Amino acid sequence: MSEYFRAVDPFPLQGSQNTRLAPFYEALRSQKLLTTFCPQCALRHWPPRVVCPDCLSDRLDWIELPDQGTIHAYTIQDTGVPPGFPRPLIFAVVRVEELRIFTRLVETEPGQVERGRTVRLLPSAVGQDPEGDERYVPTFTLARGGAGETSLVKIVTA
Amino acid sequence: MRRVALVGAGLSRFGVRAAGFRELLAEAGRACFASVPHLTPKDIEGLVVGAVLPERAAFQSHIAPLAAETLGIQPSKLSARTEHMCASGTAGIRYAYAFIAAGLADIVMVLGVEKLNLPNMGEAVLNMGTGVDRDWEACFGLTAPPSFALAAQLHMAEYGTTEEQLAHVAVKNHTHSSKNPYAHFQNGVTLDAVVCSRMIASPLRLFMCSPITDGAAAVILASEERAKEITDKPVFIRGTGQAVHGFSVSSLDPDYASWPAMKQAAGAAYTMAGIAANDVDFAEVHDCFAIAEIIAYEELGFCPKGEGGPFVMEGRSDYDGDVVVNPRGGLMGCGHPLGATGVAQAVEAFWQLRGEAGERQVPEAHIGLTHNNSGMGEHVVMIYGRE
Ligand SMILES: CC(C)(COP(=O)(O)OP(=O)(O)OC[C@H]1O[C@@H](n2cnc3c(N)ncnc32)[C@H](O)[C@@H]1OP(=O)(O)O)[C@@H](O)C(=O)NCCC(=O)NCCS
Ligand SMILES: [Zn+2]
Repeated sequence: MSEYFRAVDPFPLQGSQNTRLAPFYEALRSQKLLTTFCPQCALRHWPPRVVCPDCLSDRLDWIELPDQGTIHAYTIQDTGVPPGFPRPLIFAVVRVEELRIFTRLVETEPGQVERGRTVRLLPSAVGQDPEGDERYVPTFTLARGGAGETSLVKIVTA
Repeated sequence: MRRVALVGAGLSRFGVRAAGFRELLAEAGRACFASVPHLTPKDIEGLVVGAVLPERAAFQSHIAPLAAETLGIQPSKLSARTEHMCASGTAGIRYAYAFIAAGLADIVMVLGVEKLNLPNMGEAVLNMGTGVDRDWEACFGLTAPPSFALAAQLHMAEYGTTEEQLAHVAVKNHTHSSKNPYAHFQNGVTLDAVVCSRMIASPLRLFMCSPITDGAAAVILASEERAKEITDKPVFIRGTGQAVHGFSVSSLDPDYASWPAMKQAAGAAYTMAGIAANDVDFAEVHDCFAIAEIIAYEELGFCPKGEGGPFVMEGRSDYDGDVVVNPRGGLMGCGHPLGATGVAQAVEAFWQLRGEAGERQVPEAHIGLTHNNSGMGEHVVMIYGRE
């Protein structure tokens, strides 16, 4: 047998030759968080959609979201982490205005994570696609200084 | 619609098995036929196989005909595979049920099988990530434990559920599985050992998780008329319900501690069966993680919302309580070979309702419920009865 190869990986193909959501990834490279907006329903989606789940229209606009949000829920995983991902993994559900965005916190001290804290977008590179273009995913990190809405208590830490 | 009953059931041993995909399904299939002396593979008109990961873990798709050939079955009325992540087995039972109820077949076997453990366990863990949204969530390394950990975090924050209450679920289910010779874990566990076990995804510790398990399970369903010819003790399907509210974690109800899809699926099953939650004598629920069982008590109507923690602490979900939950040991004790789990729950219902559960027998068991989920927003419920 020749060397073990991996043909598909857990990361989406992001170029316009592979997906209509390419503008999202294009913006992510310059630290901008876009999502789709359905003008007919006046509805913002997360995650970005190719059709609006409310009216099935495929005529959606791209709009920019704030690059900050607050932690709605989080968990820190030490064991059972898939290969290729760093340990520990800090997962969070982040509220960005009316939307909830599932993400991972990077460059963050696990002990600092609390519900209600402010986080900001910090995209992570995850490896090249077959065309050699770097791919990014929308990770977040704790915003410096601001403690956000600190009225919420920390419940459990690892 | 015609009434439908289980007439046969069998399991393979669950665990880290020195056996391949085909061997596991052969083991469960043989055991199932051994439970119905009047039936042979030639009598089976349909076969449905529930399995999630054969493409990745066994480099094999096209598994329904593979299973049929292995067991000497030549389906003449139905042959299909069901894949619905952790609920694949119960999804298969519902297909078979509907086919028979509609008069399209009289006798159908449902097999559930999974070979998850691989020489490279990293690959096994990576494979589990295929069950969540790859583009938006698995791309961060998400698998099941952290998803359910979010529910545990919010249930603790909202209802004051404690780590000790979560640990009690594990102690109960490992105690039950110590009486189950098919279970992955048969040694029981103490409360101390659970709360001191290593943290997996906060606040879920090792013993509050189901493990990665190989195994297979099989049942045979028949129309009422055929069932009564085949066995003196058919176990009837009395009701069923399924609801799917969302796939990605971002799209679920914001309060991960409430699972309205489960309440909806259970409500539909109760209505169909003409029963209420307090008529249920035992329930096999999807305790993939301890928090899931606590939320299940609430959404299935065994206790009010938010009181799942005290419910287990007071022994109300154990023998001599209100309802015996997970008499076979659940997913935590038996292991969770994804596609096999829902079918294994049906096997337990079959044994319990026929009085064949040995040391685990629930006294006076007339009505049993099974609950299988494949995410916090996707649930399926079955109700089985002696009559
Ligand atoms: C919890 C989990 C991450 C632990 O994995 P791990 O730390 O890599 O564990 P290992 O496989 O290295 O096993 C180490 C020991 O722990 C035991 N163990 C593993 N999982 C266990 C569990 N869930 N409960 C109790 N013991 C467990 C093993 O039997 C082994 O014991 P041994 O040393 O006596 O042989 C893994 O079991 C897991 O991913 N479970 C979740 C499966 C899942 O997501 N299912 C879908 C649910 S919807
Ligand atoms: Zn719309």
